[in-house]
Amino acid sequence: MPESSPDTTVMLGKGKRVVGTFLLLLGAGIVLESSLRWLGGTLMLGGIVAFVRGALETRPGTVAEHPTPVAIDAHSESRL
Amino acid sequence: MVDHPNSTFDEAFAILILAFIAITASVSIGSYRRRTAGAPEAGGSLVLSPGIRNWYLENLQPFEEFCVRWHVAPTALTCAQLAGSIVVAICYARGMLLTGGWLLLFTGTLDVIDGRVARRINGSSLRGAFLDSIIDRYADSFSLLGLAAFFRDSWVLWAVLFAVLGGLIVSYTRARAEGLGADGRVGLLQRPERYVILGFGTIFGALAEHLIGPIAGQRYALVILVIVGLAFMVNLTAIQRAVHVWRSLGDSQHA
Repeated sequence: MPESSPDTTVMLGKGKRVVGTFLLLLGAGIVLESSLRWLGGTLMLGGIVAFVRGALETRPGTVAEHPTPVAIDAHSESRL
Repeated sequence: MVDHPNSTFDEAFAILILAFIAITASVSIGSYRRRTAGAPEAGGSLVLSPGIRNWYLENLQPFEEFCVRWHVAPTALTCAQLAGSIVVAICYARGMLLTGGWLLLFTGTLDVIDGRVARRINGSSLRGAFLDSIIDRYADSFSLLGLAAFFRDSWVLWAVLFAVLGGLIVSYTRARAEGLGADGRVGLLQRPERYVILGFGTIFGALAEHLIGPIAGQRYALVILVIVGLAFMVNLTAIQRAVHVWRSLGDSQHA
């Protein structure tokens, strides 16, 4: 990956938070609904690590959060 | 499938999941709203407000950047969506509604990212758009077919099949309208809304089943309510689109 500007750091932090949330809830679902509890537990652990790292990288005072709202792109989603 | 009396562990775990979802969503959306207070908003719908849409798209930005930087082909994302929807169908069919719902939201996200990445790398092509439309239909249908397999011994099967039918008619109406030179992009429930309703509906329905069990003797009552509502609204959307196209075509003659 190229440069590591504050913007990139924020972006990476946000990405880790989102991936962390995804893994945590996916793992929780597997723990709750299947017999593969070890897999769910591992995913949850990975999710917690990613989420905490992302939260630490983007916590207020460390770096400014992305200031510009994302404009709605009329073609963002296929609407068929 | 939850086919045993709920254990204390399951109940406590379900409460923890609910709490995590509520806290994470409220903190994240609250922080987004504070940062964007006063910014113009447009383009929302009954189910997804402009603020929620923008918050969602902002959270997708890192992945969009990642795909652009590492030259991930939009077609690869489309194929991943198809593979993901097959996994969703398997999860639903096996009664893993929480896992399936969460994966459904993920596959919907892949669908949003592939188009945005294609535009960023100037990789939008007619073939890509065509493939995307075909795979979207399969992905849409797979998730509902998984639910159909799960509810195969119940009257809910008919509601699920009705929802599948509605989803296909909604898409066909727009495709046919565009073929005739009209615009069919209207309606109460378009695809992102369908993903959100079904995804969160099955997630919270599954959690409710773990927490409170059957409601009035009906298992998965919340999930059933969501499916019936979805089937009704999707078909309403199909009719809404058909009426809109009918009116906009007026008395035009077929070439």
